[in-house]
Amino acid sequence: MNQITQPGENVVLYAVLTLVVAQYLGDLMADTLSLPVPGVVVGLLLLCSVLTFRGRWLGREQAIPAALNNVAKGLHDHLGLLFVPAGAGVVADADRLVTEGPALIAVLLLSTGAAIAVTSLIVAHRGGAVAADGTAAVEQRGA
Amino acid sequence: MVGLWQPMVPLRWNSVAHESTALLLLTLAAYAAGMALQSWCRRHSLVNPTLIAIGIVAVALIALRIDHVRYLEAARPVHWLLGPAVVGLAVPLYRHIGLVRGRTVLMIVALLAGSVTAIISGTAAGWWFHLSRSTLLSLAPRSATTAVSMAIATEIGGIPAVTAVLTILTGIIGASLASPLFNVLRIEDPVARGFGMGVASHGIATARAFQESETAGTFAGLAMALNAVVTAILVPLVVRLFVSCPPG
Repeated sequence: MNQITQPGENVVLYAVLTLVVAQYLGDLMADTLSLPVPGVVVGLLLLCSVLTFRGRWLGREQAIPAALNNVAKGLHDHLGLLFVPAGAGVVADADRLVTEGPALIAVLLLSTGAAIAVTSLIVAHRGGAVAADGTAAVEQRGA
Repeated sequence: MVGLWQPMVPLRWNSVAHESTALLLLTLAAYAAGMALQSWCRRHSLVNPTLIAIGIVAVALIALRIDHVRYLEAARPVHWLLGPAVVGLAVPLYRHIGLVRGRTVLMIVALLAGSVTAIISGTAAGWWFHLSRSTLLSLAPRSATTAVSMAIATEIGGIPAVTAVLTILTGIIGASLASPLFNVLRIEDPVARGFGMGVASHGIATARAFQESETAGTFAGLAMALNAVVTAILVPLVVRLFVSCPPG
């Protein structure tokens, strides 16, 4: 085993460990404080604050360890695969998707279009007035 | 006890292990087929490898009469990786957060307004179409990236598998709808286009935004990461506010 162990390998282990520890602490916080937010999202925020502290300490360029960056990128490159097991659970709800399908498609079209329009119109509406009446812009244009 | 179980346990274990490995293989092969089909269709946004893979696996489970709980048990190693993957979203979030500098208020207003629009308009339209309560709860978090939307659905009593499919469909719809919509609304700014796509339609629209321009793609990625967090906070609040009946 020793011949194939490369110097960088332990660093990858620490990167994986960092992600799992952050997830565990996030789950623990969400549970003990009974937060409505999923533990993984708390873990995400914890890791983000650790990176922010590292950025203050070491400078923005050095904040993200290369191994953590690579492990995260590796997971995100194949993120689509990771949904498959949970998604395949729709077989249990196949009837629902058939009966409610047409209405769901209509809902998704309407709602997604509205969300894109509202967000992009606000961002495109730059200039001084926006910060003050951004909400007003939503009501006028988004409704 | 050992004498009694010795011949039994390895046998049982072996047969279960074979089935588990086969189901894991099915998952990977179905996704590989989806990826191959996508690249064959020149990465068209309507051809989504995850949706294709879910379709293949679902058909196989029904045809082979395999219980989906049994399947999820076998595919747990793949499913488990979702947790570290969501936590890892902190990396692109931290990297891109500096992009909001100079227009922080504008971005926050746009993010909150877009997120609230997605949640409220989706649930309101669904309610108007008389969708069932569990479908509405599965629908609410769909603008967050799939891993997060499924976690939120679990939290609020929705059905994670339904949420996964609705989230992917939201991504596909956003990716296909965005360009014509921007042309109608005359939005040309790549920052605005990318940010809107990322907030409403997460990673799938982010990939589409990157085809438009580097700037649009980067802002879409930032918006996706931010909205994953905002949706996780807002959806449980909205559910508590509007659904007064007890869960279950």
